Amino acid sequence: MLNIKGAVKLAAVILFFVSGFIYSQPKLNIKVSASNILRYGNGKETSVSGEDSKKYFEELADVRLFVNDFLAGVRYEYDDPIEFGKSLKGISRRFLEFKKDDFTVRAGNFYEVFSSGLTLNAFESRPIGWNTEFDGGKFNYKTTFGKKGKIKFDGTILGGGMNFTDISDTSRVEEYSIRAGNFSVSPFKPLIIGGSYLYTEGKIPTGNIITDISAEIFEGNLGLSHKGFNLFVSYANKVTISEPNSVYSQSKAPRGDGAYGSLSYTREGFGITVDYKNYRFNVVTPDNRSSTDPFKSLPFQNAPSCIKVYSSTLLSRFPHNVDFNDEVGWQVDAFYSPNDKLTLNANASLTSRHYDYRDIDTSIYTKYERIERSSAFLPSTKNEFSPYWELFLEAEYYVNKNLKTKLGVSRKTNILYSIVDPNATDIVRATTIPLEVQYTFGKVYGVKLNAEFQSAYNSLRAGEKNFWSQLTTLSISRSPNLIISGTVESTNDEEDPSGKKLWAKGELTFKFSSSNTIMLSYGSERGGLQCSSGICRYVNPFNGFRLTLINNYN
Amino acid sequence: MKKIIILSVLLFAFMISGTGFSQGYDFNLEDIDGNSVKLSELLKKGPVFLQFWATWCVPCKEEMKVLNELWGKYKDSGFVFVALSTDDQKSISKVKPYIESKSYKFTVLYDTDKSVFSNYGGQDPPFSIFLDRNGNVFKSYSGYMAGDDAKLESDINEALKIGKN
Repeated sequence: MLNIKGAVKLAAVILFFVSGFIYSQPKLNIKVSASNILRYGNGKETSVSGEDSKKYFEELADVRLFVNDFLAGVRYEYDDPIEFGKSLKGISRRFLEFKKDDFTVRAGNFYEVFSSGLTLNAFESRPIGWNTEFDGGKFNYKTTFGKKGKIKFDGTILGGGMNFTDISDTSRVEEYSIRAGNFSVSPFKPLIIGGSYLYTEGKIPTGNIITDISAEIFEGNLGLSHKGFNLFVSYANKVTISEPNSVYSQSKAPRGDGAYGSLSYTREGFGITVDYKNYRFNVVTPDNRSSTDPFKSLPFQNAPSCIKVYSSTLLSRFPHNVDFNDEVGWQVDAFYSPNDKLTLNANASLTSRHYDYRDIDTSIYTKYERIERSSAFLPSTKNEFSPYWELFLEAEYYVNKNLKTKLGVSRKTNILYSIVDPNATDIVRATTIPLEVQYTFGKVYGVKLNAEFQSAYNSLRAGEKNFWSQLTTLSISRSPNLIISGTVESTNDEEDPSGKKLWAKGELTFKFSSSNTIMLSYGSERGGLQCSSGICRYVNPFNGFRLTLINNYN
Repeated sequence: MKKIIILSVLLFAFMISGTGFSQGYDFNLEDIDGNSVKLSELLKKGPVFLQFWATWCVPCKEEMKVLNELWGKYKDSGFVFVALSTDDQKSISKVKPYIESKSYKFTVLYDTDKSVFSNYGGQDPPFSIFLDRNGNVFKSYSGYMAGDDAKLESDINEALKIGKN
């Protein structure tokens, strides 16, 4: 994060050099693109400490300037304060990119994904406060050669620093210095082979103590396609070396690895994907699991979660928090459209930890030992393995051009096993039925009803463990600029963290133009776990006013 | 430092003054069959509608169905519809199965690192950019609501007229 003075200096220098380059250009192609998000909230938030007033103000302005082969970009951020995460005031992103034929060079801030993300998948998710943005430089070369240009090559090298703010404790920041490279070659169309390498030096805080680490990750991948089949496999191996300190008296160098594969088959009207994951970047005994462990999977490693992503409220509730250090599982997802009116979607997934453990200390102390199993490459449904499984079915049917219906059913179970007290194991089971009916009339008017019913069981409830929740949203829209909606959610859960049983919210969305929108809402929201790419944070219940203004200028 | 900033801004303004302004952004992405697709090549056919979507985004899929119908109606007039998937590693393997299951025939590209999406200022899908045949941004769209098909069709008709010989 630069301070304003430093950033303005940098922008001035960039502008100076860009100007010089522009002058030497025979013809100028100039384009400016800008976007802006303003978010304001004022109300009350319920947390473990009770109900407190909650105010936030976030302003994010991005400007990109394209001049021939150059692209320069700046983000100005003003949080006073941010809704969640670390407040910033000033230039939070700046970059200069040059792109010519097969080359792209970028200096400044950037994100990057290597292959399936086992080595590197840097991204930002503001709702959960996650940001693994680089500050450095990268170089990409993408070309084709050989007879008729049939051989393809794509390679990237990068280097830079990253300050990662822990989403569970925003005062805790991990610092990394990273150098990495990635390539893929396709000698002929059905085959792609690739690999990546990453080296990092990092400072990992645990309380007031910082552990200096260095880590190396090697990854290889292979892609094959034939007729309707597509296969992709990727394997990564990581070694982390720690410097001795007051936590670790001796240097340690544990290894970890991860594998991901997907096989899909498609034909006209049908598509199926089978995903498999086996992440073992830091398989440790239950008492050593910690988000501050220096040997954990690094924050910029983010492999596929192999769990279905939903956009509706109750289906998204009770999500599974993926542990990239110790998790094995699979997912099957299929689409079938027998005609243009009907689409069926089925999804099944099962995921768990690799091993069960036993206490081998006969005294009052505990010493856990792993119980080996030959089938550790497959997930287990036993409680001791903290399994998560889900089955989802959905049918979407267009009765006619104006009337669309969608009905689904989901059954999921998420278990967090307590080895200390198996009776305290957190077992959540939920059956959810989402229904959607949408009707368009008078060419520009639309009415949409979303209704979700959920029956749930939570073993940690002190009283009634079975409860239900119901959510109904009714929206009326007038294309192209107005949506008015009302949402009511209710439950009979006596132990909801908010202490409430009814939440109601009204929302108005108005579009000034096709890409400039204002959204206003007032009312109460239930809160709960919110996830992005398998990473979750708890969002507190909120009651009050929210305003969001989104602008885009191209 | 003030002097450097003022000098840079003035120099920049001077350099760009009196020059022809036109679109200045091209991209080269891979489609779901592994072919490289360049925006400048697509623009040779006519106005290009770029829809940024994701497999988990419900309104994106509603908009895609409408755009597919409009593409079927206007593709012979030069209208080009391209869907750019912003799915990341967790859902990218489902992109091709979804498209094939719906028997869609338009071009679908992978924008996995969202570089094209963010260069156009995209914040959340559905987000679309409509380029006229000269490559200039004719319109951008955030969100989708029922009934937008009438407006989209009228925009397509308007875009088809721009720069036509």
